[in-house]
Amino acid sequence: MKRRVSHLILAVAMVLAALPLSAAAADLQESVNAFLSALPADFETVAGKTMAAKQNAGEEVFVLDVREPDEYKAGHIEGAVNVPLRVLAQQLPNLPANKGASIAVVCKSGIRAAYATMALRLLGYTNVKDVVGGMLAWEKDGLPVAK
Amino acid sequence: MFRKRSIGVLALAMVFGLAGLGSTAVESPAAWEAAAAYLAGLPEGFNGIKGDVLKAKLESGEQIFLLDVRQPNEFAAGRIEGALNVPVREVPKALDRLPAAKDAPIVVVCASAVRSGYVAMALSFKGYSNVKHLAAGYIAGWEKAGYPVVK
Repeated sequence: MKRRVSHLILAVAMVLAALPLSAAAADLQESVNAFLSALPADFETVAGKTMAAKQNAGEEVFVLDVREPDEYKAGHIEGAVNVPLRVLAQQLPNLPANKGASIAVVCKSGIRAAYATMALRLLGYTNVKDVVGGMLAWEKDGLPVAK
Repeated sequence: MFRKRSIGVLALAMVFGLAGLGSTAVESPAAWEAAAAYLAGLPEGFNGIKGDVLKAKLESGEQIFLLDVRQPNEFAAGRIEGALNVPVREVPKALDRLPAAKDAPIVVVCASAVRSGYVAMALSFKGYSNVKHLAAGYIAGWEKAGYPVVK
């Protein structure tokens, strides 16, 4: 009898555990598919020159540098906040509280910034751009580098 | 009559135009969790494959599924031989054109390794376990390096 009850409890628990999981999976795919299929014409990128011009015009842009600390130290965009890509999820308090804030993500060549851009969009930020070509393009364009 | 219709068309166009201005909301806690796990587990090189390494693998006959996610006009202007073109926005609708085996080696290609990063991450969420992207993209990572292209 006792065993039967415990089997029943186990079965109910398994069903309950499975329910939110499947709901979450559908949600995950819907969200990722929506991100891809609704990408704007710029594919969420901004040229370094355009970003620098916006900042010079007084527009507030939160520059997020997702490279490793040693890369950041070797030269970065003035005012950029360094959060290495792999620890982004642990350092969310360092990001703007306002999900509509203008964020420009930069790395060395643009790929790490692409991952971070997509991740932040899935987190709910609505105004995130990948600085296309990363710091390599930034420096090539002769834009100012802080050390 | 014609004027009324054209005003209607204009109003519709404005509504669609406005809708296109901001980025579509795609927020989802489950998706963020998956993204956070993906970021935390990224290997050295961040799943990039350099052009010379890809070229050597292709030349040695290794079976690699090349997925070029650029727009059709970019693809037509030059591409790696054998690549399948699925523009990034159409990837969710074209999953049946990808390899059935979830561990098949896939290399995603775009112009400058932004779109390919999005797709590499998205495919990992869909269960693909061996997805890389062409580092630096088609232009800097392949074409400028002088590797063979087809037009």
